[in-house]
Amino acid sequence: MSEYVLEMRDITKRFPGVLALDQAHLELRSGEVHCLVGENGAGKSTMMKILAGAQPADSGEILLDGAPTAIHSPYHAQQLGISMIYQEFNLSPYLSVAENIFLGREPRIGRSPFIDWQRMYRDAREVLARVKVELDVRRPVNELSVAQQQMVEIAKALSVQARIIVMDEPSATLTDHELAALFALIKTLRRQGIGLIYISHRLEEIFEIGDRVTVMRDGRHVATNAVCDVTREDIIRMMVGRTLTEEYPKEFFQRGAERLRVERLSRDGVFEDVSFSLHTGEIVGLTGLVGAGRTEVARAIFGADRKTSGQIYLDGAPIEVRSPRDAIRHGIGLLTEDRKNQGLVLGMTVRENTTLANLVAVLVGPFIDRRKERAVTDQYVRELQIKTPSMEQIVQNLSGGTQQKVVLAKWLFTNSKVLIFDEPTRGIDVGAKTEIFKLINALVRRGVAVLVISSELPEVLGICDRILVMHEGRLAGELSRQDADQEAIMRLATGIRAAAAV
Amino acid sequence: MENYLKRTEGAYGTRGLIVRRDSWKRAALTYGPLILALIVEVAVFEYIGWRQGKPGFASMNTMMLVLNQSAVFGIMAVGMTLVIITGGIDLSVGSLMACAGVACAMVVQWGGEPLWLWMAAGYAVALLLGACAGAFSGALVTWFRIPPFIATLALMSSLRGVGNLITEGKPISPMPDVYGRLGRFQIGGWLPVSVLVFAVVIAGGAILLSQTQFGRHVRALGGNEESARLSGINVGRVKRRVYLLCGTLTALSGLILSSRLGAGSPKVGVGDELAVIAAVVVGGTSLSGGRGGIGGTFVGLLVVAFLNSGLTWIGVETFGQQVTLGIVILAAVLLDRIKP
Repeated sequence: MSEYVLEMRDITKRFPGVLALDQAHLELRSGEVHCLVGENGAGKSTMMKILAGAQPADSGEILLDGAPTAIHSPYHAQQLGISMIYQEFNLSPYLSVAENIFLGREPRIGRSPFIDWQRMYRDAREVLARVKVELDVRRPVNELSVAQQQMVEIAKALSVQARIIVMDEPSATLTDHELAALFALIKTLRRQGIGLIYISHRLEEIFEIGDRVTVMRDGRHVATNAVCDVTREDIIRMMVGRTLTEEYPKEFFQRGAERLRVERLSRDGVFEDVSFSLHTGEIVGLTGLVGAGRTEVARAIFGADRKTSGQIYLDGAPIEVRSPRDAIRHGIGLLTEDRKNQGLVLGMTVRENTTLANLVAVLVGPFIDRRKERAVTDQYVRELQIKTPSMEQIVQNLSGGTQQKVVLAKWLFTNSKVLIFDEPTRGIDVGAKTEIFKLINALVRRGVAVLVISSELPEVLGICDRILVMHEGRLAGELSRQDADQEAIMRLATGIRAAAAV
Repeated sequence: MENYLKRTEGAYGTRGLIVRRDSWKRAALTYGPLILALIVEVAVFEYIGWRQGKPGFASMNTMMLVLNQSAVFGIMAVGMTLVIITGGIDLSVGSLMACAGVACAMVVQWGGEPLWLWMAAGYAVALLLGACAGAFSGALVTWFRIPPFIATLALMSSLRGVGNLITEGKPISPMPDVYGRLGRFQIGGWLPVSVLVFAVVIAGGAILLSQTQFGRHVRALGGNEESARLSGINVGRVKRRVYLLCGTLTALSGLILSSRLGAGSPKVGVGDELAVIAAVVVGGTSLSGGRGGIGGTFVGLLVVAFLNSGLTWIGVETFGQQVTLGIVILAAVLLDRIKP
């Protein structure tokens, strides 16, 4: 019997123009939580796709329990006991929990084509009991919360006798409470001898749940350590290949005039009575637990959703914002949390995305002036250091950090006076994060008022001058940079001090 | 334009931006295989014809014939391409085309003298009808959020019924000779008026889609409607204009067809919506929206039209042509799949 349940040896994978994996390796023991970290493009996902049978490796071998194994397809991988849990779930929304768990493997009555519902529900309950989750197995999964859907995915993995489970950014959409439940579940799985590969950008989680951690960079294996032997700084250094002088490069500017003021903004059933102001020269943070209504407030200011009541003032004058169009005309921009579905047209080029929100500026009569459009794009590609082989590159093929810069270029080109960043660094690796923060600083220096919505408390504390905290649709309080720490924010966010708020 | 970040973060350098070569390469990748297929197709028919002792398929004569035959479908296909790029579909074009022809013929017959005046009135009524029908589809799709497939399916059925009701199912004929001019007259004895109209519509459509703000908005919202909306594009209005344009062009097709037939028939165009969609799809426009172009549609139309006339040339009749068209549609889509 081998020491490892899974060994990936000398895996090399070449894509046109890129060496995605260069003799990378990974060893997984049974009953351990093995964290896999690295910047975007480091090769984590390619490695996992090869393990899942979704892509063949060019060379290298995979050993299961010490025996060399070829994985031909995702289905084959599943049969071998390898399960993947992606950020986007592979659940069928209108089917029930039980139907999803046994999708494609429905128990039947004898050899007839009819489903043995009794047994399916009983088995589903058993599997859920194994992960200590209570759910009505007859409920359609679209009625479940994101966290519950994740539990169903995990139960599904267990029901196929998975010995190896890969979780790709499982925590990204979870609230703190749900995260705790997930960690408890992971610990249960670990006790049952299952090997877990855990991919996350949140380094804190590694120290909370991981046994060992493997760092990848540029398609190569950098190091594997026991989690207790390394520090957060060690990991970051290994990920970026250099010492990051400052993770949060904060610059201070003279606080200027009021740019945006929001008074008693409400949207029935979503948020209520939200008032605050943004000045030039400062970065204001808006934080709170997931579901507190932060994104919704931003969308209402931007005109993406209707507000029920309240007034918005720009440079002291009341403005009417009924649609994103109005907001853009007034110089307000929103960089949405979901870049791929709300910020970019993935099938279009860098150039086309850059000018999308302000095409008028490159028009000659009714026609688009391509030369002008290229000049504009070229300028932003250089200034924001957008890492693309060409401005004619389809943005789908760019990394998360690069895509975020393209979205930023789009809003800069609209001459925005107010920019709202919703989770600007979600899914972006450490190195690119710092770059985004530097760009935000540069914007503030140029007189843009900036609101940053973020769930990452270190980030909020690191870059903001003032911090607004929301709790259940209301502004629970405001903290200055001096008064703010994680504890103070969490107290407001969880409503402990809501009554005594500023 | 105010410059926010002028060289604030040190020297920015990116690799040289090779623009022109890229866009040429993409154009070649997009249309290359299709044009190649077209050339191969014509060559094959020429060869088989030659073996049968009937050379001369690949000639200007055939070309003009094919263009003339494609004109009616082609004009509709331009509107349909735009609709499909927004991620929608318009199933009502076959019925609408018939209605437009009927409306024009009725106006002309009812009016009498002076003929030119009533002809003009007939054209205007037909085009207005097309615009209204398109606007109605657009309104259903955007204001009432009815899926385009269903909205235009309903319209397809109703318009067919309307055409049959007002004519009691019989064609409006005979029409005066002048009525046939639009569909049959050849300028200088060689250039059919309908081909000229077709060429203008194709060129106009291609410019509209690739060079104007409107065209860019159409492609953006087809690629990702939510991103487009959050970029300040009035997606509803863009869509309504696209359907309106499609309806108007369909009416124009109806006028040409009715002129050719010398009658306003409520029975024409049954199933034509599918033939038009087929040409658009063969031309590489994706039914899921965002991807495609008028150039592709034009080549797609030619592939289908050359196929039909080529098969006739070598003696394969209608039933065989239908089978072959099906195979070509599949082949075109498969070709699209294996492209990088």
